[in-house]
Order: sequence, then C-alpha cells, then structure tokens
Amino acid sequence: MIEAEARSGWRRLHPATPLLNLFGGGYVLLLFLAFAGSMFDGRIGAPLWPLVAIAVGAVVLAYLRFKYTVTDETLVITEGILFRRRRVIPRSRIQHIDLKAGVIQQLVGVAQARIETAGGRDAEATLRYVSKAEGLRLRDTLVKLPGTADAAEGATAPATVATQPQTEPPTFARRITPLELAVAGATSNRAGVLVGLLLGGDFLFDFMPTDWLLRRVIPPEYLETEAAVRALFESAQGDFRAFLIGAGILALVFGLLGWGLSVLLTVVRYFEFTLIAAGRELRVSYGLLTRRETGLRRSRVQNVLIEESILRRWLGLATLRVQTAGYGASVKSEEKMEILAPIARRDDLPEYLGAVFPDLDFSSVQWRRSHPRARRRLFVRRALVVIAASIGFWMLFTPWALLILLGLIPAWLLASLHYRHLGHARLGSYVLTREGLWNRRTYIVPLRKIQALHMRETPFQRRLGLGTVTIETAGSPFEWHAPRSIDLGRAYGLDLMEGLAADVRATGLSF
Amino acid sequence: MSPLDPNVVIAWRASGAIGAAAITAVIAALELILLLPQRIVVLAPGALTGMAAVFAFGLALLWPGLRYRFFGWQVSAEQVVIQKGVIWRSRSLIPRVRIQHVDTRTSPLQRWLGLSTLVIYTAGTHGSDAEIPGLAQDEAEHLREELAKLEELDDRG
Repeated sequence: MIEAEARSGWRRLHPATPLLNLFGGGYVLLLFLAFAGSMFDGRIGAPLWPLVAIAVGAVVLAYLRFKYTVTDETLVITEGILFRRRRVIPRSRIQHIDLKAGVIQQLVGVAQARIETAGGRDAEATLRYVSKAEGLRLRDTLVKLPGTADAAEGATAPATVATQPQTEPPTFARRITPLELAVAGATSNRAGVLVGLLLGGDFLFDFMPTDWLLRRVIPPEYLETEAAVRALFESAQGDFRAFLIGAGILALVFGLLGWGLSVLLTVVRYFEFTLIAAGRELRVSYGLLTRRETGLRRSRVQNVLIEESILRRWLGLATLRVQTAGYGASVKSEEKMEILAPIARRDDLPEYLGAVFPDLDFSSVQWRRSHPRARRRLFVRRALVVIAASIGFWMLFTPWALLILLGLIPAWLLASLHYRHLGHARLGSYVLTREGLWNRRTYIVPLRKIQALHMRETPFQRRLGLGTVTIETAGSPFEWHAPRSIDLGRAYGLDLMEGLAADVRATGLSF
Repeated sequence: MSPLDPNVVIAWRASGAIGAAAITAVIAALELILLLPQRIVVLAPGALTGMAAVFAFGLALLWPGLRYRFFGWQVSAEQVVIQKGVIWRSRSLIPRVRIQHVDTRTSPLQRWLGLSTLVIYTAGTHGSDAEIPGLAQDEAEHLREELAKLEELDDRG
C-alpha cells in the first residue's frame, strides 16, 4: 500500500482553491464587513482584521493539509488542521463521480469533484477544487473497475492503471443539439409553473410592463390603479369586451414569456449534453453556466426512470434518468437521479436503455394492467372534487352551480384514460412499472437490484380488495418516487411479490 | 405469522400515555393563555382540556391493542415478512440474501419489560419498514444471530 502510494504520489488540490474558498464561502461576509468597516471608521473595521487573518490562515492551511492519491485499489485522502482525518475509499465501492463547475469555477478552469459510494449521508469525498483535466482523469480512472480488463497490463506496469486511463472505444454516443433541448424546454411541465410564477410575481411586485401593454387596449379611465391585473378586474365591471381582450393579451404575453423562459432554462442547463457508453461505464456531461461531468459504472445503476409528460407523449418524446445508490440525504432531490437524456425520441429509447442494460429488449415489453377496479378508485377521487365544488358553489352563489356536476363525465373519461397508464411487466431479468396520466413515469428495475418488496393498502383500497406493490432499490429517495404498481388485486399482488422475491433470491448475494 | 410479545402492548401504552400527557398539557396551556383572558368559554371552563385528555388517553389505551392484533412477522429460510398497520396496512417482504446487517435495540422501558426491537438493514430500506418492535429479548437476539448467517445462503460462493 505504502509503495503504491509512493509510486503514484500525493496530489494537492488546485492552487486557486484557497482563494475560491475565501470568496466563495461564508468568509465573504466577514471580508465585506472588515472592508466596509475600515472605510467607514477605522475603529469599527480594526477588530475584524485579525479575524480575517485567521480565516485566511485557516483556508490556506486547510489547502496545504489536504492531499489525495489514487492507488491501484483505493483512493486515499488526508485532511484536517487540528483533527487529522485519513480516508481510504476502495475503488470498487465507488458508485460514481460527479464534476461540477459553476461560472466562476469554469473561468478559473477548476471543478468540484464529488465521489459517491453506496450508503452514507453525504458524498463520500468531495475534492474542492481540482483542475478540469485532473477531474476528468479522476473520473476516468476511478470509475473503471480496477484489475479486470486491465489486469494483464496492470501486472507489468501497475502505475499506469492509476495515472493513465485507457479510454475504450464508445459503444454508444449521443449528443443532444440545442434545438432538441429547446423542444425539451417547450414541452416540459415547468413551462406551466413558470407562467404561474410570472403572473403571481407580477401581481405582487409589478415587475412586468403590463400597465403599458394594457393601456393600448383598455380605456385609460380604468387604469388609474397601479397594478394592471387589478385594473383589469375593475374594468370588467364597465366594459366586458375590454376585459376579454385584456385578459387574452395578458394570458398570451405571460404564456409566451413563461414558455420562452422554460426553453431558455432548459437549453442553458443541459447545454451540449453528451452521453457516452464505453466499456462498463457511462459518461454524461452537460451545462453552460454550471458544467457537470459525471461518470458512473453501469453495474451500479439501480433503476432507470422514463418520464413522459402528456405533451411529450403526443410528440413521441421522453426524458430518461438513472438512479445510482450513492446519494444521501444532503443531496438536492432533483439531483438524486442522474439525467441520462433530457429529451429522447420514443423510437430511440431501446437504444438508450441498451446502453445501460445491454440484455434488456425494451421493444418487446408487454404491459399487464392493474385490476379493473382501479378505474373506480381513479374516478371516485376526481368525482369527489367535482361534487364538492358544485355543492360549495351552490351554497355560496347560485343553484346553477349544480351544472358543474356535468364534470363527472370528463372525470370518468380521465379515469379510464389514467387507468390505461397503470401497469407492470416482467421482461427477462427486469421488472417494469408505470403510473401517471399527466406525467407518466416508467421504471425499469433489474431483479438483482431489488432490496425489498412492500404491499400497501389504504382503507379505500382495502374496501375494493386492491393494494399497491412497491419495489425498493438502494438510493430511491422517497416512496412515492419509487417503482410501484398501483391498485393490483390483493391476491395477485401478493403472488407477484412472492414470485419476484423468489427471482431475487436466484440472483444470489449482490448489492 | 407470529405475533409480537404481548408485553409490547404495555410499552406502547406507556409511551402513548406520555404523548397524551404532552398533548393535554399543550391544549390546557392554549386554553389558559388564549381563551380564558378573552372570557371565551366553550361549554364549561376546562372542557376543551378535558375532552382532549379523554380522547388522547383513550387512544393511548385502546390503540396499542389494535396495533398488536394487526402486527405479524415471519422469518423463513428465504425471507423475512413483516405485516402491520391498523388503518394503512402494509406487508413487507425482505429476501434474506439482501440483508446487510441486523441490530437489536432496547430502550430503558423495553429493558424493564424484557423486550427488544429488531432492526433489519438492506441497502435500500429506509425508515421503519424493516423493524420488529416488540420481541422477547432472547428471541430478538436469537433472530439477530440467525439472520446474520448470510454466507450460508449464498450457494454460488
């Protein structure tokens, strides 16, 4: 071990690290106060300067103490000023590596490298910051399984395994163009949220030129109050046509803006998205302002999620994510799954999935629907809303509100439609589940990754003899975001669980 | 399906009573601070507190019995099955090849009643899905040893 360490040599973080930490961390406030205090009155600033000196010293010392090295089998990190810490992370346990660089980091040419192993609350190790090239080297070496394909070569020159990553020819490579990303942004459900945010924000803070806009279409005497939306409601009492035109224009402007913003955000977020499958690894990189480079081992994928919003389903498009086991509670929930494709054509899905699960034949999947009584549950849930709304409005305003009850017809249609998207399937050594009408989520779980199976019954489900089977894998953050098959017949569901458990046992001890 | 140790009902009632006392205290304080100075009296002075106390302590007395009745567990050569829930039922199935490690935990109250909680860890399970909360201490320890014998299960070496 010692020899191996000596051979590859200890490495330090990027020299810009102390500076970035000083201006990027909580120290910035201290620095600002010291400067501002001195400018204003020397007596205020003076006591702060020793603190600044201590902060600078601590940051520099932390940088000097932080060293790491990659050996044939481990990643070793030593750090700490007062409390020294030496961590040895076996390379075979590393789930994936994630490089992240914000705007400033990109300008300096550095990135933060996060190394994840299974379990644990935080990332197993974070290297803040390494140079871009060093980060890529780490990604390519650490994700590779030590001593498998490279064993023969490693025997003759072990040092090269650690320092020189052999890049295998990619078996699958995809680059997503900005145009495709624009389509992704235009079809994402986020557009609707943004419209809502813009409308609400403008109503509260009045940051959009709505007044100016409405002045063109609405008689000026209605526009004396400050907020345009409020003015619109007032004008409704006077001139109904003006109200309609105003409302239409407002909706159009806000809608287009929200839509445009969604497109812009998606393009910026996933700019130059590339996915490369080479050997047994997947490499993903994307982002304009915050650039991310991720490498993960294919065998570590716990499950794959295909997301199709209703708009995307019509257009034959989908989003793909993979779940790895390495994320703890401290990671933001939207980052808990790695993106595999921000947008993909449905026809390309088998190819994408083949890059992750080579033995999966996705095109031959045969869905088995949930129990027909599931439709009743889906209907009752919607019907209750309709009935409550009609009774409420009847009591409050007018008996005509009972016409809302006509909404029961679309409620039934929606329930039938929704029912068609519930289901599960067995396919070779995989199990698939799907649910959701507005945003359909399809999970693909390899049997060898199943950790536990649950059958849950709410009181309503129990009355209908139904239950939901949830499949647990490592790393799924929340139960309602886990692969599950909703509203199966109870007896059938229990049989399914037993059958899956038997198949899981057949895969033996694997984690 | 095996039931839990009947003593667990006493443990649950005791911890339920503590919770009930806390709720009653909060309601009493609210009534004292918010309602009485305004001279708002619902039914009678102290009636709200009384109702809260009756409800909370009643629940603490009755609920553990129901919970006990609906709890079942089973350890076989292949898997662990845990079934529970009075209103929201759940049945969890953990293949033994997936068990990472097993813990027993004992609170002071449990120790006094001779009980232990068996906690099963897999790479995936989070929360209380894989817990058997009230086992006789020696049984829990026996199960812990039994479940830890993992290697024998792996016939593929």
